[in-house]
Amino acid sequence: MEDQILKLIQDIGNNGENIGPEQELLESGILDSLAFITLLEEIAVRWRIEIQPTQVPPEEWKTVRSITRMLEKKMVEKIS
Amino acid sequence: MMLLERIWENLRKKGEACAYCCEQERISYRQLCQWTGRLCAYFKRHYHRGNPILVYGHKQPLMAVAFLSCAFGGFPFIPVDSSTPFERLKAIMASARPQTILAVDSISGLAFSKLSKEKLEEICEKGAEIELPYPDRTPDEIFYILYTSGSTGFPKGVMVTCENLDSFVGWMAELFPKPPAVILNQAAFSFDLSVADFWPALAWGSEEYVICRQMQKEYPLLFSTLERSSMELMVATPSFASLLLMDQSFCKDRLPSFNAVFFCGEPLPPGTAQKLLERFPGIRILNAYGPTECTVAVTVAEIGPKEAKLPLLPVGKPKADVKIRIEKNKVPVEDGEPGEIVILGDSVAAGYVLEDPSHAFGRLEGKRSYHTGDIGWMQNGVLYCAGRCDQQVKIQGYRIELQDVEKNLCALPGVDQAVVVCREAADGRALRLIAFVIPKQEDPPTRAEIQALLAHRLPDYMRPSIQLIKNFPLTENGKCDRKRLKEIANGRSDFEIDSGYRK
Repeated sequence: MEDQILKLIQDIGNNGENIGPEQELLESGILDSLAFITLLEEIAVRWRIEIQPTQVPPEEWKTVRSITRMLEKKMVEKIS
Repeated sequence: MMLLERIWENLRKKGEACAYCCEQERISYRQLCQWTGRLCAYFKRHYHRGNPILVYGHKQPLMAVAFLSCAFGGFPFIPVDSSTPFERLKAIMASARPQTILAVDSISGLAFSKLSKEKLEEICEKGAEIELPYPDRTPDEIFYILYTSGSTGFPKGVMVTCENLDSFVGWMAELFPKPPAVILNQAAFSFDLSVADFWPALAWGSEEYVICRQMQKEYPLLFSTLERSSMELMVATPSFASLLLMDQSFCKDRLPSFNAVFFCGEPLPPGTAQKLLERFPGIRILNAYGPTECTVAVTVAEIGPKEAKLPLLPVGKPKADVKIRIEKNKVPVEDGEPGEIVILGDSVAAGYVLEDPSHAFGRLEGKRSYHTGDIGWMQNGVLYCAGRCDQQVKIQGYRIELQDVEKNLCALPGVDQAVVVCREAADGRALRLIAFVIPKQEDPPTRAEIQALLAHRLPDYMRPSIQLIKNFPLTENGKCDRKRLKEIANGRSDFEIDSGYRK
């Protein structure tokens, strides 16, 4: 999943082509509001997880790794 | 000036009512009046009326005091958001030649006359009470100067007069016969969309509630702030509304007083309007259109459930003192035929600070005129806008001249040539800038090096992704094939990009 998220953000982020999984995404502006909207839409389509931005603390959007962890947790919640 | 007379009255009679709210800081009309009185008096003692003052900062309450003090004192002000890179700020300084800078946010490394935040606070808060003078501005005086992307690679300053702004705020008052009590501001003050909330709010004696940069990135905080604001009217770009609509809590139950939205700055997608109407039944959606050169907006359409189903939303009817003319080769066309949108009348600004070779400003039919470069048509007195006839793009409401980005790229050491194109969404909306760069043969820079250098020159919304390339694809007559590059950027064409440079 991490690879897919990484690829996705490399595609949709603002100047995010060369990022790695631990790279900071918020302060750097890579995950700007446009990328954020696209990311939520993609997550809804690919993993069928509807995310409410207000339900997720900002630090969980900080890196590809933290986003992946958050999504994995949501997947588990969905199944159980 | 009608606007300042209204504000002068509100400052004196509204007392403890909140005038401006930024995060936890609230400033009442009484306090705003007191601070503006002192700061305005200081300006009058130290500066020359009519010469511009640059106001550098974000959305601190002191910014509001600074704007008002300039307005009442007779100083054109230049709002520059503190996210602006240093080189861009220097370019603005060189063009506008301000007599001083009000550094509400600190600026390092600039040897220029400045008033620091501490000094400004000292002037505002200490000393005897000084009565705010009754406004004495004349219609032709410059009220503010806003800088926008220019195709020369330098930002260009648009000079808006007292008459222009009076006309705009008067029109807003007609659109809102019952003024909203709390107005939400999204845009930075260097973006003229903010003029549509800041000045009407104070003219109405309402509360201007601002959302600062940091808050726009922290969604839980952003939404709780929206709830706390009790906003009635929101002034925003459609992109911002799309973002809010991602969350189900952006709904009537949570924001019961929210009943109107004023959109300007970029096309409003019908889907965004439909969703808004679903979440906030009965909400008034005002879809406005206008360039910075014509004082924020000159036409507006009310988008109800019926209109929201149209594939292209209208931008509406012009305000009473403005005429829209659609031209092809400088000749007006028939109703319904597309052409360049030309704006005539009182909203047309005084011009650019420096002369503009495009001669977009002029006179037509005995009125001031401005050739917008936007393509549109009129149908039954209603304007529709559909794109540009040049290389200007709008990304999330920010107006960007592709040549501006290209010229700044070419000014970097190690860059030989550069062409910037847009990656677009399926509906044609510009999403991202992609730069194809031919590096100099000697010691070619990496993409990261180019990025780092560009960050000193351009604000983040203007910075493209970099694609290094050995040669541009050429058209049959040997010119760089922009269309082809655009197709490559959008993944519709496989030009062999030489990756030999990529490090």
